Amino acid sequence: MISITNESIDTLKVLESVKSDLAGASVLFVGSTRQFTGDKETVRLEYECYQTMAVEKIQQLIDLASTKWEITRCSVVHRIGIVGLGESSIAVAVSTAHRKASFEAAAWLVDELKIQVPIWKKELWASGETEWVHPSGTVRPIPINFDNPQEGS
Amino acid sequence: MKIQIKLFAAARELSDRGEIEMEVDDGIQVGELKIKISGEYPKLKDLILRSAVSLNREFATDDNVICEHDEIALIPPVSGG
Repeated sequence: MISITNESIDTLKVLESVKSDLAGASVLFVGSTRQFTGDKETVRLEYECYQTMAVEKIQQLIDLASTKWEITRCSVVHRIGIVGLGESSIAVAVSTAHRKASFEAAAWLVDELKIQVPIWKKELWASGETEWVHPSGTVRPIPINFDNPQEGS
Repeated sequence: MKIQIKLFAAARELSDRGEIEMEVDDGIQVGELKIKISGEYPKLKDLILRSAVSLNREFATDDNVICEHDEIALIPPVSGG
């Protein structure tokens, strides 16, 4: 399941979506709005995305992950719009036969999503300032190489 | 030819629009387009240096040639998650 939504994420539902009799392990990662970054205080985050490309990129990442690990099921849900403190902005769930693959695949998917999927967040700081987060080193301007998944990762 | 370029996040706010339209030469490459956008929208110049361009929802390289009906977007460094 891939979803980009304005609604709050039902994280347990995301976990349930990867359950299978074939899987002995399920991992759920949930990312949420953190109050402090160093000594700067966040009031809320606001997310924006390039919807069609984001969904296609997430699907490509899942397809690529499926060549690296034997994934039984996988779901990625990202929230856009305003996400308040403590609220979930992303949920990634992976199920596999054994736990090691679930942990690795979920971590890899989250890491790659953060550099390849066109979704952006804007900080509203307690000072009243706003700031788009455009970290250096993200956006890899080359297509994903399916023949050599290690390259550039 | 006339092309449209989608803008997101800081690029959208800096230019105050979600899409820009430009008249460009046939056969223009992505790298040339970035220079052209920087010239016409100076506020975007610094961000463009750090941004990618997508053609039909795939990241493009500077030597990719743009065709008239391509879906084009400027992709600032992403920050999902």
